Amino acid sequence: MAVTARAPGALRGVRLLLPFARYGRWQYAASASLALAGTAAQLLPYWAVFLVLRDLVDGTLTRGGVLDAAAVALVGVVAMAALLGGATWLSHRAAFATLEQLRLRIGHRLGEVPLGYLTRRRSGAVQRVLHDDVERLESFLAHAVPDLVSSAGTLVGITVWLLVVDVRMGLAAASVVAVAVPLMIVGAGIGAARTEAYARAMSRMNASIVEFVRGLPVVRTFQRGDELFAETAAAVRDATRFQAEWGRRLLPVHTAFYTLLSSNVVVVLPAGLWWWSRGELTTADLLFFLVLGLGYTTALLKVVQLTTQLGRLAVGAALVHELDRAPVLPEPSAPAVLGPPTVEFDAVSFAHRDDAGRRVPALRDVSFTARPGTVTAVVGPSGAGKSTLLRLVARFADVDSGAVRVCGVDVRDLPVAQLMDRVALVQQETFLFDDTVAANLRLARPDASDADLEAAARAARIHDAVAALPDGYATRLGEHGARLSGGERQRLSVARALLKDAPVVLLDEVTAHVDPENEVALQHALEVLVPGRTIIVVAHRLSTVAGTDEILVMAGGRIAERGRHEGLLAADGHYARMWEAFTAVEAPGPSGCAA
Amino acid sequence: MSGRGSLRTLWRSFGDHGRALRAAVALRMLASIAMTVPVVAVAWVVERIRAGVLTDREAGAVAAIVVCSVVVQYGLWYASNHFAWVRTFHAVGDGRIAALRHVQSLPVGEVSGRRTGDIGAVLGADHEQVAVFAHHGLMTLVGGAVVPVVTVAGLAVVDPALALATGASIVAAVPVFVGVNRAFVRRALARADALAEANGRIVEYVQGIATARSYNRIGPALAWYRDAVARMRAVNDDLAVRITPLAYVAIGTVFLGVPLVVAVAGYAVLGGRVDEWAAIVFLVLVLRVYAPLVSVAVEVEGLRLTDAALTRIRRLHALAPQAFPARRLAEPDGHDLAFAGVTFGYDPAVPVLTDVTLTAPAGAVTAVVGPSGAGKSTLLALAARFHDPDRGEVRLGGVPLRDLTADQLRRAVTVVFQDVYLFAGSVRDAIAFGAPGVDDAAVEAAARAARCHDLVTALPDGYDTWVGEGGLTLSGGERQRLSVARAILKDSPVVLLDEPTAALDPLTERDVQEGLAALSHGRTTVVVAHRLSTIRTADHIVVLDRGRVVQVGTHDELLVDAGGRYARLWADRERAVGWRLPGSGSPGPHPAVRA
Repeated sequence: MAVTARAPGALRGVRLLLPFARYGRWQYAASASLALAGTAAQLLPYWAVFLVLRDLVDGTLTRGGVLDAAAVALVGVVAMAALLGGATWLSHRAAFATLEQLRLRIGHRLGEVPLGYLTRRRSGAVQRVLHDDVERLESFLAHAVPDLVSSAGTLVGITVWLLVVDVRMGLAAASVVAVAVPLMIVGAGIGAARTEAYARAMSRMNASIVEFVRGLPVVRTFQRGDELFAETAAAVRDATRFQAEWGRRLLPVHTAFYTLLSSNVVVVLPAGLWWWSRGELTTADLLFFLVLGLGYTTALLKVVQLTTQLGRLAVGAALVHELDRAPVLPEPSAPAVLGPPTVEFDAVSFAHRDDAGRRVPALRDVSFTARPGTVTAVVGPSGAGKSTLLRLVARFADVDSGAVRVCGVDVRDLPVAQLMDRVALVQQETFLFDDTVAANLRLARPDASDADLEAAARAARIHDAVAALPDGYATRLGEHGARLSGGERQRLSVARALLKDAPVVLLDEVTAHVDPENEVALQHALEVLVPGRTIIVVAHRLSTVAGTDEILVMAGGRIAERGRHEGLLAADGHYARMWEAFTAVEAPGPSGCAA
Repeated sequence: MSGRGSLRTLWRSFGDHGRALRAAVALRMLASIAMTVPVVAVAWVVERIRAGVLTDREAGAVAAIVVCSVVVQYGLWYASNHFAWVRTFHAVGDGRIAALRHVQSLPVGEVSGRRTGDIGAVLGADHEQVAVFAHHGLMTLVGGAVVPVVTVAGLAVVDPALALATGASIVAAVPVFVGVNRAFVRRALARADALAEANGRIVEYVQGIATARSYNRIGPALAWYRDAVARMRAVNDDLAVRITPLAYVAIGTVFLGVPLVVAVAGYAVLGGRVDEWAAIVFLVLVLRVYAPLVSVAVEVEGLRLTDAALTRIRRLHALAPQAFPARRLAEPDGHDLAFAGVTFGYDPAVPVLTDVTLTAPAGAVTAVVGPSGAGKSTLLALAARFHDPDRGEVRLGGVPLRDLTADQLRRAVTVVFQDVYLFAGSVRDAIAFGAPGVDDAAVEAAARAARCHDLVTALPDGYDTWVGEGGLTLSGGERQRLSVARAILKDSPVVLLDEPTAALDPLTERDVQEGLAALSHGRTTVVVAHRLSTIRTADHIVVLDRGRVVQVGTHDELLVDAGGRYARLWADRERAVGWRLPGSGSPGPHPAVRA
């Protein structure tokens, strides 16, 4: 028993996993059966030794008897190895089947939950669970059934056998268990009372260490660092003291538990000799108890170990549970009849939930119409709700009140596939798969010809960069499109959007993280993408949108002002102030427009 | 990666506490020996019974011995665990603190950026692994290994030939076990690769889900994911199929000793070669001798993991600390910053800066510009002595940075980072971070200069608002201004500034700019500049390209060379800033796209 915190919810974990365990149920059952049989086989060597000892003591040992006993032992050992081996193998396979189902379920749900639900934190949590937690589950599940069955089987089986031979001695042999179990409960109690405090001390130490490392550059520039070091060292010492203290408290009970379980001879021998000396126990039976009774109770240790591991099950299974409970956006099955590509917000209010589950209002009573073929810009300070607005068009989540309409139809009345056909979203963070350039482009249009791909790439000013790659369009991009620079990835993303040829295009600060050299090329690419479509753009530079058809100035989730650039300047409100600040900072040279 | 090497390292790494660990191991060994006493007592009793001469007094004496041995065993185990548990945690805690101290002495460049996670892992998880193994796994290994060895050795005293028979199966099992291990390691590597690949796909699926859904390609993406999950299962199945049978063959081989000993002992006693007493001892002990070896086999994996952790800890300690003079050697004469023939690369074979010579005049603003990857941020890092150059020297007021004490350097230079790290604390603490003991008026003055006083007073608790880890999360613009206030208050003569590229709304942008102007006023400022106004108004501009200085001068001077790097960079930037998104009334979609 290692001194580790026992995770809560062991039984809950089992319950959550059960539906997935169904997929391996025959193998789990077979594994359990084989384990049981293997346990029985395990007892044969004990029986063999007993036989020889008995005959030896009685003076009736013969060569034949020895050979018989040896044969029994041999059968027992071989059978045990084969049966337990088979049980373990089957249980491994069952575990892998269970885990496969768990992963599939998670993957499936990811395709169904609203995209707004998949925040960065959740995405990170999902990845962690899919990797770490599922691995931990794996080692547990693979061994749990055979280990549990064989340990419990040994314990119960031998106890029953002993009781059958002689009730009093059987009770004597099993009496240690009766004392050990309360000890275990007491120990668990000591452990549980401290589990929370222990976990807190450990996480405080870990957080302190992380802060130390992350903050070191800052500390070195601003302070002498003694204070930070002292704080972190103190956190480490606290946690250490806690661990040591816990160990100290657990020590007596834990050691007693172990000692008792491995030395039930301390009861068996005196009791046996007592009854034997009074003639109430035959010599053979005494021998039997001495041979079989010694140390079989260590099997209980294994059972205890396994139950402490049960807690780990909770984590991975809990995520599945959480994903299952995530809301699903209802969609109709039949496609709707679509009008011209207008985007309309009708008195839309929306609040999203932050990581702590609190509701954060993002949009309040927002209404506007983006007519077909026009460019509508959304500007405002960060947190004003600009990106949220775009995401609602793509139905990342459903609005709390009001309606979002695309092509004249409420997005809730459109099948998601139909909506996604009509809307293209180009964001700051492009995602490119670890596949060829061509495959990434064909994401937008699977049946596009090579000529189509090249045309889109040329229009997006990325063709030359792709042609310069080792295998051209057949070059694999590496993780996250690593062979291309940030600006090049963005242009590929624009090419992809071009291929998709959707009538509504949403641009979310696409030039934001692009190095200046690449920005011009990207701007050219956007010039090709924009004409003829309904565009809603969140720009990171105010000058970009000075020529658009309508500018929506957002503040605090509302539209504070709207109009064209010249009109807004004349109105001398939010926009005018922003423009003034912008020109002061960017001070465009002779080629730019003056305010 | 040998087991023995790991244990030696473990010993050494425990330092003063090594003695405690050795004591724990020794006591555990004694406890294991004590565990054999009752078994021997049983054997003796059995023999006396067989000979028919067991007296009540003898029986009582034996019972007493058994009880005593169990008590002794408890005591030894308790003492061993006390050393193992309590001292282990203290040892690891001390080890962590020593590692923290070492990290603090490293050049900042070694600790920041990508390294943060690795170092955090060494300080956290790796030390934890050592602690867990030392207090649990190691003891199990020792206890498990000692029992069979001591037993067989003890039996050799009684009858060497029979002892040989007992030990034979262990010896026979060793090559099988080694073979299993080797096969496992071989397959484990291939399996790890396959799993990493499958896992990479799974991660890609999770991260790319929004993209896949927006292009209506969730079906194919899901099929691809399912493929990866199925492959994971297949790989695991494969390993289990191959390894499990082998493992149980090894276990079975060990236990074959039972039938062997039964046969040999039986025949030997019948043949009169050994007396009954010896035979009984062997028969009784053979049942207990092999089981501990199985737990040893299980713990070997723990040994391997601990070895890996210890290696990483060793590597951390092997990193060279940054040398600072202990006493003041010289005072800088003025506050100009000079690079003299500096060459540097994170990997010395791949220089990021080559032969850089430049001077940032005292009290003036020097802007560093150039394409991405030119080495601008690295230049700043060297100026702050986050790294030491491979060749050449960086001088402050004529004094090489290497000759400044840590105090002198810290007082002279302030770095304003791109990524603002705030410790958990109040806003006031954050701003006063580099200037302990200042009064509130000074804090407010700095905040005003940095244009963040208003934003702070708008927070729930004003200057007392808790920020950083666990506190209010501030937006990017707010953090930047706090960071500038912090730098202003610290009041160093040299400011190194990495201008953030992240997008801010124009009003915040202007505030930040004004704050930065206040900061750089009268100070030697080196800024990696992106904003047009910063570059244009700088007193001195350095143009970097691919790690070399290609041009220096003022804005107007540099523009004279119309074909030069600077002129081209400037033109790009002007174009980017002056660009407008086309509004409606532009021509239709690019004809080349409609294929």
